[in-house]
Amino acid sequence: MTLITYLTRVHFADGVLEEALWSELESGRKKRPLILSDDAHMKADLAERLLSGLPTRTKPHIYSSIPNIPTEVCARDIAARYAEHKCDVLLAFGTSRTIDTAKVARVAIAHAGSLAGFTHSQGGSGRIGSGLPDLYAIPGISGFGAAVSAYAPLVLQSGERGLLMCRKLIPNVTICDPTLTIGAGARQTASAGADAIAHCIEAYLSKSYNPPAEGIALDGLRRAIANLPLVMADKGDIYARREMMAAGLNGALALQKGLGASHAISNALEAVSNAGLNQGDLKRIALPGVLHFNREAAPEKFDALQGVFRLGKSDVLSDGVNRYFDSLPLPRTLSELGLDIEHLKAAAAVASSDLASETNPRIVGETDYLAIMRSVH
Amino acid sequence: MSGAISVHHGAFGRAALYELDKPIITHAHREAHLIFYVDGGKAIMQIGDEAVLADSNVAGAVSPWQPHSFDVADAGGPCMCLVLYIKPIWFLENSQSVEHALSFGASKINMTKPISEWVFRLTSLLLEQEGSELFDGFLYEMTRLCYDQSWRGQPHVGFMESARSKYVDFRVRRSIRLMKESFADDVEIEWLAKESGLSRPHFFKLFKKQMGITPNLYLNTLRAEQAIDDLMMTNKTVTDIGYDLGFSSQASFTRFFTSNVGIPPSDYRRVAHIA
Repeated sequence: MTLITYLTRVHFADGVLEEALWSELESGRKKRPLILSDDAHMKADLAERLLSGLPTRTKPHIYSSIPNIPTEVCARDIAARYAEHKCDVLLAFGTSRTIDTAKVARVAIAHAGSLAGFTHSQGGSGRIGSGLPDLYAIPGISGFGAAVSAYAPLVLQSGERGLLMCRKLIPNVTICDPTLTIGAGARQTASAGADAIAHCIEAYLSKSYNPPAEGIALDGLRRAIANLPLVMADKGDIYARREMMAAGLNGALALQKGLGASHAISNALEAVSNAGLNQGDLKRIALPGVLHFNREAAPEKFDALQGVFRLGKSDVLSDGVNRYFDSLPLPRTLSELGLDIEHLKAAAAVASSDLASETNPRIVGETDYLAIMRSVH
Repeated sequence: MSGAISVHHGAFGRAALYELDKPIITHAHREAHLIFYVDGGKAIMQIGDEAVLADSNVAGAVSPWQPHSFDVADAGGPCMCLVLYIKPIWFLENSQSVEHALSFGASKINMTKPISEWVFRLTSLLLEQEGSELFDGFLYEMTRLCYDQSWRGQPHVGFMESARSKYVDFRVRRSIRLMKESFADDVEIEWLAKESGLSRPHFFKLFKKQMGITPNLYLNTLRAEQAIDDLMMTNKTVTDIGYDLGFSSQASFTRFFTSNVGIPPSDYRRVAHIA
């Protein structure tokens, strides 16, 4: 694509959650937010921060039955609650699945009837109208991709999978507060870091033409690889955590350029396993294999990435990335996630029809996907 | 008696031209403040730990939620001052610091020639006693000049200090939520402490330490802000606004409003304009 647009209104500052939320709700004259968040977030101390950031005389309602992958059934349930409580805005707080669920719910709130006709494969993007309710997104340690993108995957009522894709789905406001990541565990932090690194690398390598996105991706990658070890060493440094959140946001802003095969593999394995697998875990495993597959497709960009990872001319990028990931407390093979060969075969078929396949720097098909996954099984 | 000559409300906040001859007690609010001396007796302000004498050379800058008080400093008669209340959204949209998105860098602002000229223009606008489409632009530019000056040459606070000051204990957060939900009722500190899982003295101490003001002051702020909002945005009578905010009579509401905002609520409504 050659249309470059950045992208929505993003607040990014230490401790900005409460005041940004208050100010945005106040200036939007919103009084009845429907808060979407999973149980883990709503039971944590973070929930008090969110709730204490609501303006006076606000009547919030909370919806916390968030599925692993957004579903039409859940979106309709949310739409019913939204109408029942006369809500006037959606607040999605926490992870990408919550934020993506909110995006699907926006369409369900604005349109009666089946969502199948609004999916990308049915040419439904243009049918998504202008009456969508406002959505404010507040990612925690992850979820940036969902918070600034125009996409949302979903499982339709029929059980089929679909993708909503429309610029109107981008949250109206995104609030990024690095202090929300203080207290996150090592595993969660590592996984979010791997996800950010994969977004940056794949967006940079994707074959679409978007120079600003490439710059953003490289900058995010530099921040991530320098600061993830500091956060993992738990030095209590808000600076490093802030840099990791910036890397996550950079990767998310860059992904409008398109992604690649590791994103397609991660989505596909998440779908066929239906086990709520973590995107960061999946990308940590898939990315080295995908880089090996792509190794001759974009030599100049590979040189640039070698430089960011401080690898020598004789080093191999996929090996260097794998070594970097080895220091993280994350699974190294797909079998560690309980995935068997049947999962891989099913995922290969799904991945080959993922939009991310189209922007991978090397043409990639079902057989290639299966070979890549076998190499990291 | 203190009074307001004019008040303008706009997208980024409000500006008031006050004539003050009585002190305003220590209070704090979400909005930042810029206070400029215009005429009459000089003003002494306590802004956080710093005393600021506002005259033709120096103005006062108060960050959101920073405790501050006001008094007339000498026998020069009432102090006429231009007071800006800047919404946090201004800072969120203009701050260039990821660490200090919501504060001025210093409490004292030197009255440079450009700032003095903006004071004159804003004061003139307020004296015209009617809404003006120029108001938002004037307020915006004036705040930007003062904000930039306040950070010039300021040392940076350490990252950890910055994070600590922003990572407020969840029990304090809970009490803030409860206050927002019930500030119009007869909220007792004892109840807030209990609901927050703390003893009264511990709650009081922790709240003051983390928020910079006492829970009582916080409650007062919520009531005063809601009162201003109701005065400007609704047709409710002053008496009804007071009742809805939990006051037992118009007199007690007027006393509360005057001591927190500086002038009586009926005067405020009379002189205020929306840009």
